[in-house]
Amino acid sequence: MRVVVCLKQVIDPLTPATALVLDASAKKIRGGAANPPVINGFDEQGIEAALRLRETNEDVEIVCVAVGERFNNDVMKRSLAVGADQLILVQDPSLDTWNAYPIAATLAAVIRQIGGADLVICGRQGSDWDNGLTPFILAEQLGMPLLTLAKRVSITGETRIEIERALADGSMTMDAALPAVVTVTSELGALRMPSVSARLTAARKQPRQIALAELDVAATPSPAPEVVDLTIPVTSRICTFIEAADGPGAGARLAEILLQTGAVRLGGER
Amino acid sequence: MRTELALRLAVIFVAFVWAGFRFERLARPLFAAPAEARLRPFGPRAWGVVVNVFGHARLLRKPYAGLLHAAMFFGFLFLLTAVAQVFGQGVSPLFDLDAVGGSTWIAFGQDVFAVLLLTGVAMAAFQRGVWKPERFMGSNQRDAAIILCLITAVVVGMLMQNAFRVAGGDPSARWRPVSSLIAAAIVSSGVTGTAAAHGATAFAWMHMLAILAFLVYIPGSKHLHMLVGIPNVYLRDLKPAGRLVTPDLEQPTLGLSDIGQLGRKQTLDLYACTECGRCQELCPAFASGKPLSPKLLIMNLRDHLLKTRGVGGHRAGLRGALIGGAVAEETIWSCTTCRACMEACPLFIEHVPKIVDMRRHLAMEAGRVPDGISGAMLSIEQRGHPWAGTRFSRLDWCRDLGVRVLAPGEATDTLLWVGCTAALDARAQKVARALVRLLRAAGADFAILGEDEKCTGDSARRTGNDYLFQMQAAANIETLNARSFRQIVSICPHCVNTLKNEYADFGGAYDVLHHSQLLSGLMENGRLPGPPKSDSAPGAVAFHDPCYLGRYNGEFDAPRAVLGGFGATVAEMERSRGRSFCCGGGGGRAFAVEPPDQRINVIRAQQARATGAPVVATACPFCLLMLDDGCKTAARNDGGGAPQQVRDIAELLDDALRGAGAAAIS
Repeated sequence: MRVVVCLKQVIDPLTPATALVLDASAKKIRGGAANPPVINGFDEQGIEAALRLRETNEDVEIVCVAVGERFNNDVMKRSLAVGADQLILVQDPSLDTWNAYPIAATLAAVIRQIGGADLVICGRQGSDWDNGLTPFILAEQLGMPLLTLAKRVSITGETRIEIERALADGSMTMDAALPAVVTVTSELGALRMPSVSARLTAARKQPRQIALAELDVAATPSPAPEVVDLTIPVTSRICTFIEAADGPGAGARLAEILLQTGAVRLGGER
Repeated sequence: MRTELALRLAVIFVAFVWAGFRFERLARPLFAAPAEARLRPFGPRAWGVVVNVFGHARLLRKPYAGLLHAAMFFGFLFLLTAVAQVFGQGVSPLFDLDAVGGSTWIAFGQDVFAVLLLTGVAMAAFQRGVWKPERFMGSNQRDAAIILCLITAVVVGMLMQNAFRVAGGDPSARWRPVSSLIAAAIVSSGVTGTAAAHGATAFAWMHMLAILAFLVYIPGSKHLHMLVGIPNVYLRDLKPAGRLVTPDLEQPTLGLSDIGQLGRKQTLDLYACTECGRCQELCPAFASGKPLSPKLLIMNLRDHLLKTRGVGGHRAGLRGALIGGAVAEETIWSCTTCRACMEACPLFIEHVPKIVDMRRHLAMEAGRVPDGISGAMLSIEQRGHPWAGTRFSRLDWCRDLGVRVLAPGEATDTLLWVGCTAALDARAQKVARALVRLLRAAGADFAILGEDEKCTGDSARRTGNDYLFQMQAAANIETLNARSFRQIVSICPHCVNTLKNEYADFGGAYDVLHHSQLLSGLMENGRLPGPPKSDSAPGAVAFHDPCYLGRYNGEFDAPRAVLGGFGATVAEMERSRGRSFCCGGGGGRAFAVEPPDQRINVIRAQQARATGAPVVATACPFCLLMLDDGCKTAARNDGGGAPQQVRDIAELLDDALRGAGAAAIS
């Protein structure tokens, strides 16, 4: 059984705002040299889901596929270190896009090229833009059912998939025939730590590179959504010590300041 | 006479064979273990034996226990003459030590040391039976009682044997004051002549049997330390305290997961333990109710070793039983690596390296690391610092200060190694800012590495992830070696320790100072101006010794000199200097999730609070954060009231030099 896990390389979501660099003309954000990218956290949980399937099912082959502009191999090879059998990268400048269509179409083309998949696992969304569209388009392109927000994934009778969906007020069990696309969510749990021997072995392995031109990618419908403007929110802190003789005095002074600065308004005012 | 001799020989033979089997059971795993290269240098090693075994240096830190041990130790040494006599005469009636004073000064010494020894036994019995200090909790009390009884039997047997001899007219009478006293009582009860000779024989038997019982008993007892104590002290670790052994990451198994992987000295440690509990008494993890006692750890490892390797000698089927069996994972992760245990152990047992070695297995093979710690380690790997989620980048703390960033190829006198915490934590940043102001006031030529500085890997190494540590070391050494500087100064004792003691294994040898050392030096040679005259004296400051500055790197005086230098009075806590109580942040524990009822920082804050000083000073960013938090809880637990202020020594000095008014806008 082949399980394909789709990965996205993203700007480290924990990069401090002061380190982000805005490329205004290209309408893109870069993490800066000192802040290497990471594998999208939800996608890492996808790898974890696949590894758990391998613990309970025989002959599970895990293939990780990532498409994007340019990859940091050391970062992406974490997937090999934790136990993926293969890592496939498609690198092309045109894949640095906000549009989910060409991304999903390229992923689908890779999956078709390697001979299909029994199960495709995606993270619920990318932590950079949070669009969450790729898995939907991918399922459409592959003609597979889509099961979303899984916190537990299991294979029943080798031909069906069962997931437990995380809901705000409980959970839901869903079941579908394989092949299928599943998205996983953070309740599934973090990706395991690789052992050092696995890391050292992974360090010697190389990802398989496929050129975009070698793939039969479906055409992107137009018009595509467009990014009109992009800014980094500026946050600042002003710290003021309130001088007052006692508690009530300090409270009154605080209320005055809040009113003056417009942080609070009196009832009825709009 | 003949039959008695034959019986005696038979008993001695049986006892020796029996003891031999019991010793062999211990020796087998010991000699199967890989030997560490610890035989040389002879001089310092032997001197350590003189000071610590014969001089009782560490034992006497507890005067009562030290004295009772000295009484028994020297008593035992001298009474070896009596052992020689009783066995010599046991084998051949012609044997005596008269040529070397056996019936003169040796006889006198035996009487004196017998009394000394019995005094020691009585003191020990009082300590164990009446006083019962908490450090004995978990020790094998039955074993201790048996040992005291056997020692008493040996000494009483010897004294009575001699007394009956004196009663029978032995010429050594005038050299044996104590035996003569007992002899007088024996004679007055009418026993003389042949009867006395029979008595002497009977007690010679008691003397001999007690010694043989002792011999047979020792291999299964904590009293084994009388044999392995000296080698264990001789083979003690002479490396810098802060340098862990670097493992080869290419070897098939990493870390300690099978007791058979222990090195020979590490195995000897297990035999040397006397269960005295001095380690347990000082262990912050134990004090906070966590499932770790360094003493029980060693005892459990010893019992596990003998159970799994002493009996069958086969390792098959026993693999993995160490972690999760003999030692719980929780126990392994409870350690702050503060080294209080190792500093207290009279026999130089190495607890921390064993714990780190088991962590190495968990971190590098099993992949089982507690949540908070694993998150910090992943952050070091991905971002070069453990503070995932910080809103700062490495230069934010000094944007308005214009500190020079040293580019590759450039040179400076002092490289300021800021450290992740001082660069990325809002509270700790104030320390770095204070230090920059002080360095400028002193006219120092200094620079920082900025974005090129990465975590030194201390927490990674001490949580067992040596792979990550070695990656950090390689990256930092490459950065450092591309620049020139005379010395490195850091605010963080953990960084100091790693840069100074551990990077040498990877091609990085540097002159490294802690900021307390730099500042005290600058104050001493007058490069920092004296504090301005002010009306308010700085007052009392409780100083918390960071483990990695004090115990690990021997620096207790420099931070106190800084505090004293601007007129503060150091209020010493009960646990200070070498006995300092960890803040709870060492060994990666700064990132661990602490159960609310097991917080070491709160215990330490309470100890600081007991001094009554309004300010707690420290010299480590981990300690700063841990105690800042702890002091607030301690104040609340104490029924409200203002928490103590927690400040770094650099902040306090900076305040003093700038005048108190400037302190608010640091």
